Amino acid sequence: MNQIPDIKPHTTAMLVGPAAALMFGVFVLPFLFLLVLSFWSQVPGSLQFDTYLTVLNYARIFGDSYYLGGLWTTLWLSGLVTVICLLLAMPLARWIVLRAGPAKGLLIGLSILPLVCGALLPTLGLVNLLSPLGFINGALKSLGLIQSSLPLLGNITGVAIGLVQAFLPLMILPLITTMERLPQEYEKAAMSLGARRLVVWQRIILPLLLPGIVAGSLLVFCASLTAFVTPQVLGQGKVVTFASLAYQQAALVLDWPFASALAIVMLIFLGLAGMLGALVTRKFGKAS
Amino acid sequence: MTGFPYLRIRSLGKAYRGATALHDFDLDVEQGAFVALLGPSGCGKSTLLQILSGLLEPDRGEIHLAGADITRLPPWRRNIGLVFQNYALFPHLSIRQNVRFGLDMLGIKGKEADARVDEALEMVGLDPALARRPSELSGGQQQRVAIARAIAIRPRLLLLDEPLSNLDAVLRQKVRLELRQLHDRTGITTIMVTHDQAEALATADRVAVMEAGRLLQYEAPQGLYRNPATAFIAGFIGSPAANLLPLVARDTASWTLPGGELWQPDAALTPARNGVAAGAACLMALRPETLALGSLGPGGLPVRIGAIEFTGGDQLVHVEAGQARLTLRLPAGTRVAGPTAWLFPPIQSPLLFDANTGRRLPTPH
Ligand SMILES: Nc1ncnc2c1ncn2[C@@H]1O[C@H](COP(=O)(O)OP(=O)(O)OP(=O)(O)O)[C@@H](O)[C@H]1O
Ligand SMILES: [Mg+2]
Repeated sequence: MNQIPDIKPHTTAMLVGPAAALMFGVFVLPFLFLLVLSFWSQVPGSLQFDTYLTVLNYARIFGDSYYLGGLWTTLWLSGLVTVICLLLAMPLARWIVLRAGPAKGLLIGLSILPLVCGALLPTLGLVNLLSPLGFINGALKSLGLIQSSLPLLGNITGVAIGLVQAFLPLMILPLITTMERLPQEYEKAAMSLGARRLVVWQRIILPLLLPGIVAGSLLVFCASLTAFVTPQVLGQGKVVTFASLAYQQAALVLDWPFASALAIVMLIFLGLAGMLGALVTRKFGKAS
Repeated sequence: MTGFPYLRIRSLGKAYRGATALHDFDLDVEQGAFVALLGPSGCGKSTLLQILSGLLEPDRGEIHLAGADITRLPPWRRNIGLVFQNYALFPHLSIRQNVRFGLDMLGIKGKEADARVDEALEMVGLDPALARRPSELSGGQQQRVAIARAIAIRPRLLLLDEPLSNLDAVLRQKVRLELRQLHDRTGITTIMVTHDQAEALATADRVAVMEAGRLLQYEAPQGLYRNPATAFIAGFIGSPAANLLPLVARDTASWTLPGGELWQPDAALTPARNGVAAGAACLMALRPETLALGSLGPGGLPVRIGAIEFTGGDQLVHVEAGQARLTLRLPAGTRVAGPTAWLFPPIQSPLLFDANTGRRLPTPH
């Protein structure tokens, strides 16, 4: 019989130690510093910090329609991208799980491709597709469907397309994993009990897929909320998102305390999204 | 008599990407009957149930239920109860909600629905107050819930796909009796899939034996036991199943055993008496419980005694006749003296099958 060897406390410390030290050094410490920094302020005209604690940075974010607008844009854009990803990924994942057969592995590989090639390359490719002289506008024009180019770059539309492209895999993967663990018999049993397809979806498939839907939505929402490269490239500086605001303040204006406050606000929204997800799972997963 | 059976299946065919699962399948089931579908793994039993319940579309053929053609009817309009081998209870719903699901679909609400759920749960021997989730139940309890869920809608037909295969041997015997009693109480026409012949013989009014997508024989259990249509059926009905002894007719009065030994049987068992021409090969089905051992006498088959298994009231004696192995079932008290003996088949017209086709040879008069 195999037995789990006795692990002594100092062995545990040695096993967990390096990772814990690394996490503390590169994650916890900078985060704490970020938190403290957000309550400091910049001495005007210099790179010095005024370490007197103040909530002025936060007051500025929530008092200025420019920053509030950026926050609002980022939130609803992330929500929109999440919904679009869900609508696209649901049929795709179901098709891959049920019908793809031997091509399944290949298709899963293809669908996670955007994840492994980084943000920049596919985004630059999208510029070619979406620009006024790009492929899409060119094709539509030569087909005579439009007279002048559709504005697909430098606006929300372009950014949304880019984000959906980049983060669709984050929705597909959890959905596929959940669907694969869902035996076909549940649907069949429901149908034999008199449920039409729509009812089967409402009462059987969706509730049982809920963990996957919540996980995928959280991933896509959080990724979109913090996305920087895609909105920057496809928005061409004309779409103000929260990440681009933080970047401006940190790298261009060099107001680090204010940039930190922006980052903390973003983190709070990530936390809220996570709590909402947990709440939805708790409410609909267990009850009913 | 209308002459039109309650359930009528005609020339049903189904292939999965070239592999035939059902071939020209016919079956008639009378209202209120309990039919067992018996066959080895992969012979198309589940395929047939899925087609009957509308979850799978047949390539050809027709299904009539209660006089109406239901071949193209979607599953939700058939009102046919289906119980899966793995029960498929909805894991996010409670036991009562599971049983109630079909009633919701029928638009039955409130007190009436509650009463029907109680009734169905009591019918399968479960406490209606059981407030638990499917995952908190034992396999046997889950199966009862699955059956309650299927009968709560008062289906026109109840289909059970290997309902007993996930239960242990003791529970299986108990539940198969309960299934039969449930059927007798509700009167629901039932088709049960199984690959256990004892289960089929013990519960069903009629047994449909399938092999490789075809119906081989459809008969009451006694008829199936007494008159198997093929060597395949004879070789798997009964506990233990009949021995199939390969024989070649040597002349009008004697057979050659595998291994070349000679057997001069009683007059009733000779090739001539049974219409087998000299040189023809056939299989003789010998039921273990009809065979006897003895010392030398006319008509005996020379055998060597092998292993003996004690099973309680009986003993199973394994013997070799030439190169063929046979099993006998003798009362436990019978003394078996080795190493050789003579085996005596019953003196009556034997069950003979064509060695090539496996078909039953016609019984001469
Ligand atoms: N979805 C499918 N795709 C391809 N072939 C299938 C499919 N389902 C069943 N088959 C094949 O069809 C044949 C009949 O299958 P079926 O499930 O009806 O057998 P069964 O009699 O129920 O077997 P078992 O006793 O093992 O459950 C088998 O050869 C099987 O391999
Ligand atoms: Mg099966």
